Amino acid sequence: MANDEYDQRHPRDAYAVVLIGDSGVGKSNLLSRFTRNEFNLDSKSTIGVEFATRSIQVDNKTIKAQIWDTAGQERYRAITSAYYRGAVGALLVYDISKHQTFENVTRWLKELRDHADSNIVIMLVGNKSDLRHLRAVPTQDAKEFASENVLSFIETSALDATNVELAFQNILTDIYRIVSSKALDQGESSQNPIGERRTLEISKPADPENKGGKCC
Amino acid sequence: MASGSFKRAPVTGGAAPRHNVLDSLRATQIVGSKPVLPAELIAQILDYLSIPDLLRFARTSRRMCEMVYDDTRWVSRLKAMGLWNDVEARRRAEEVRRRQMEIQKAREPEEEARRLGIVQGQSEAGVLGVGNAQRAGTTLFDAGWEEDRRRQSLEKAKAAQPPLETGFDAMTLSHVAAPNSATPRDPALALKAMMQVRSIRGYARQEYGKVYGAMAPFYFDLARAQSHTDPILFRTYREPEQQASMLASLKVFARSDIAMGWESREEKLESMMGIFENAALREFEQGYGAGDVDGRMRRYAHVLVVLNGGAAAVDAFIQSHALFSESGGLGMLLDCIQSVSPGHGGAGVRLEPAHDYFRRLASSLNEQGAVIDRVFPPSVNVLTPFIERVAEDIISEYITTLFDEAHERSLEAYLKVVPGVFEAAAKFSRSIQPSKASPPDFSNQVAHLVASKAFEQHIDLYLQEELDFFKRASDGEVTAWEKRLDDEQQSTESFLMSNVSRQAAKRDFLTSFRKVVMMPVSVLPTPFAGSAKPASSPNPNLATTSGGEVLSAPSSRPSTPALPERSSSPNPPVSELPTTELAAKAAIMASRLEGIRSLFSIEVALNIIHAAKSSLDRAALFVKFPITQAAGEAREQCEIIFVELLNQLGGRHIRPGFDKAVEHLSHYNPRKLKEHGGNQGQVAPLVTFLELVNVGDLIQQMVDVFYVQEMVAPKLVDRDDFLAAANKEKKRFEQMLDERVAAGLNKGIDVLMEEVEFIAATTQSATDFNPGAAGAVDVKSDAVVDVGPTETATRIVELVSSHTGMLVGSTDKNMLDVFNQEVGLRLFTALCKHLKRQRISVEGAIKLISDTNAYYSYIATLRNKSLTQYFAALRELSQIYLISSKHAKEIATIIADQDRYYGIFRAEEVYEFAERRADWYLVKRDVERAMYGIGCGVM
Repeated sequence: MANDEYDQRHPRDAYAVVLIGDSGVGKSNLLSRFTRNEFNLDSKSTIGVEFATRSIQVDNKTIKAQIWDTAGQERYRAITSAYYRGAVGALLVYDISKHQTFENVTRWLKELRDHADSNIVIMLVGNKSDLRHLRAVPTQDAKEFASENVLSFIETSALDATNVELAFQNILTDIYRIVSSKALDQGESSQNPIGERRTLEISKPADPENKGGKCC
Repeated sequence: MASGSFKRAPVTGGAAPRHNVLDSLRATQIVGSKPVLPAELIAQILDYLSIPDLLRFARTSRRMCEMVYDDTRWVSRLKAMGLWNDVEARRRAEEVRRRQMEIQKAREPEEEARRLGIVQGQSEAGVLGVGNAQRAGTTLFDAGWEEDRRRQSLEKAKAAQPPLETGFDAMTLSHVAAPNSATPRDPALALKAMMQVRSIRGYARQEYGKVYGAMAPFYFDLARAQSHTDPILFRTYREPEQQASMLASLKVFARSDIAMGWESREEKLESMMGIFENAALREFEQGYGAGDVDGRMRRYAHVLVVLNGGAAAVDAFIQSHALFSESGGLGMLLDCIQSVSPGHGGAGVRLEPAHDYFRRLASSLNEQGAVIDRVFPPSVNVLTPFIERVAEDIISEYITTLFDEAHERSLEAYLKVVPGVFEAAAKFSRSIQPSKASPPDFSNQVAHLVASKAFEQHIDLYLQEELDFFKRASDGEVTAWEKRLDDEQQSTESFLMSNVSRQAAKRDFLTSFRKVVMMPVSVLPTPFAGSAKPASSPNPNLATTSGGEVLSAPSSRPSTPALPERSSSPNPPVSELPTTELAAKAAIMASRLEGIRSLFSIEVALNIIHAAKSSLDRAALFVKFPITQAAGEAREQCEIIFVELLNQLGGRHIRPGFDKAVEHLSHYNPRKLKEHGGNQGQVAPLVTFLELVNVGDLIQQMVDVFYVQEMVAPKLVDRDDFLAAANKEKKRFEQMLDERVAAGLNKGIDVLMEEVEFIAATTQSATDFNPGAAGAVDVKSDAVVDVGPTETATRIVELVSSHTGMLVGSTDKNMLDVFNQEVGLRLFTALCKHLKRQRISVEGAIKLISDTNAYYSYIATLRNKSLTQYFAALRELSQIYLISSKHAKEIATIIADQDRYYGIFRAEEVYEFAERRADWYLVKRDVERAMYGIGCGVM
């Protein structure tokens, strides 16, 4: 693995970002637009999870984003929680032309809060902004919702590439700033975000035990 | 009318005679003996009476009169002379009926008016009365009206002449003037009597009477005459034309003479005519000899034609024609073969002399056609028998000598001469102008004549030779190639076409091939057209040059290597000197495998197809042969040639090649070759085999184009006729090819999968899916950053896709689908097997998922729905490893979820996969407890 050495040298510059949201809101196309600048009109629903990476510049530093594109229809919490595991950022996507997907944002948010790192940076993304004539979710509503839940917010269109770049840029910048400031605060220079995830795992065993208690 | 009364006669036969007999033969009635002969017998007897006797008999009683006058009796006589026209008679009868109907209709309102008693003014009443009178007249005398019309038309026709039977109308039915009059009437009129007979039902007797009146005097006089000077006929008519026409009329008239002694009378007439004919013929010949075309020849030709169709004159004309005595002057017989330059090795044949010959013959025939038009009346077809004679004597002789000579010299020359000359002859028959007397299908007739008289005898031999020639040629081609192949066995060479778009190259190749096939084999260098194209360009040369062009034109076309020229470029991997024994073996193997593409060659196929094409084109000329039987034979022969072509191509060339290739494939061992560093990312023998499939497909398409162009387009074979030998053979050929390809692909898939397994086994490192296992705990998290598929997956996908891609466009879609499906399934199985050998940690799952995603996206490109599902299931499956050990119980639910895996994995299978988790022994208890319940958890 030739890349390992490289990664080892710049361990803190790789961040995992997870794309979540209802099935069919355009997560996969957001990803393909961002990483390959492609758009596929008749894409099938994602099976499981797909990965992609892309490097971007933040504050004159190259950071590598590893993006997990998840299946919106995944039913098993065991699996979805695996998606959130280790993620330092999440793009919570809804479809501006389908109000239901916006309503479900609350549910997704809850899941994030339940399973993901509490420090996770979340961005609310209203996708398909090109479908102006079909808009079902007013920008204002979404903005209000975002500020209520302390999320950043952006409207994008994977089809005409509006704001896609910006959305990823913003969230990665946020993540970078938070992580680096945290690293400074904690003074643990060797610790990296993924390491954090590890700590998280270790710190979480209480959760499954609780659940186990419930199940049995 | 009359016929009606006749029909009634037998019915009332019992009553009527008794009635008559009561009048005249009371005594006999009293005695009680038989009253009278039955009507049938009387009718029979009447047939033998001469006309005068017949009429005399008619006077004996009313019944006899009725019997004699019976229309059928006279109609039959008119029919015997061929003067009665049923259609005309029916038309007239219908006309009469129609008019009666009209009158009936017209009368109805008048009658009604009368019944109503509406009497108009005096004048109107008068009109009415007149109308009635007329009506009565017409109904009664509609036959009389007919007579009027006839008379009017006669008057018009004859202009100055008064009507023949002036006092003859419907009311004087009983007066038959003509038969008894012994004195000949106006002689000019008598000549036309025959022509003026018309067919009116009920008036046959009158019509016959007229003819009889005109003819009988001459006829009986002639029968009595002692010498040819005696008869009044020759005294009455002075002009030979008139005499001839009268004689011809008499001959016709004689046929109605069925009274006693008719044989002798007819005989007499015949002999008179013979004498007359001879005299006329003599005059004609003298005229011919003197070259008096428009004078005596023309006159006596007409006389003879009038007399009896002029057969004698035609015979005389043809017999003594100059063309037959001076045929040598038309062209040097053997120019065709003699003037061949020796450089052509006896194959070249000049057909120009033959064309010249036919051209000259045609022009002289056309001249004769003009003469014939002048001499003979347009009713006689002289040209056709004349040409028949020409074909029989002149052309037949010419071509027989020519063919024999050509056959002696060389077979190839013969094969070219025959169709060439035939084509020339066909042109010749087309170029002959029809004469005025020729039937509408004259040129067909001519062609038929020429073909049957001159060519028929040669056709069988020719077709046989053509087939043999082709057989030998293709056989030689294949054998030579095989021999060359043996010689080349040692040297290796390789031209991979991987970079070339096969489909484009193939389409390119096929278009040029189609062009070549469409190009006519010029058996005939511009015949009759007179353009200055070199006649000596023999078609095989033409064919091969264009074939060569085809092969060299798309330089990208790697196809089968032309063995001798390219042997200087050896395969790079093999060029290294094999050092170890193993390497040496591998090198030999590689060279053998490289040789697959030399197992058959497009060049050979092309050459064979070209040989077939030229043979077929030549033989196909004879399908247009006007004689159906021979044409059928030619067609059959064409089919046989095609079948032979398929046999040579398929049986001798392609099949062994494929068989050998499959054998090589089955010997392939990736491990051995890999060590030597063979082709990266490709299984060499499979590549070569796929190339072979490409070439085979190309040849098949060539055959198909050939079939359409050469067999279907000229209608040699009906595409839908599934019984035709050519169609059957073509099917068999295609089937053979498909079978071979399928067999090879089957082997190929085996080989490919071996290779896949080999790659999987050799390149997949244990840390790929289980980064922690290597002990470098610190590193494991970093591996996650690099999310691409592992090298193993990349290589496998590359390998498989490069091979499946190679087939695109080279086999038909169904075959390709089957192949892809098979490859996909086997790949799936191989991957599952591989997966079960791995140990996968939660972190490694990301790698694994990347791998399965890579496989999936490759499989998705094959567009095979069921296959895609398999890999989708694999993707779902791979997520099991992503679940952290905390969720052990839910793992059980996920394992048991059937829908998740599209029914492809059963729960037990998924369980087996789950066992490959790196932390399996940590979660096993929980999973099993969740799956089988607490009780089972103890196990």
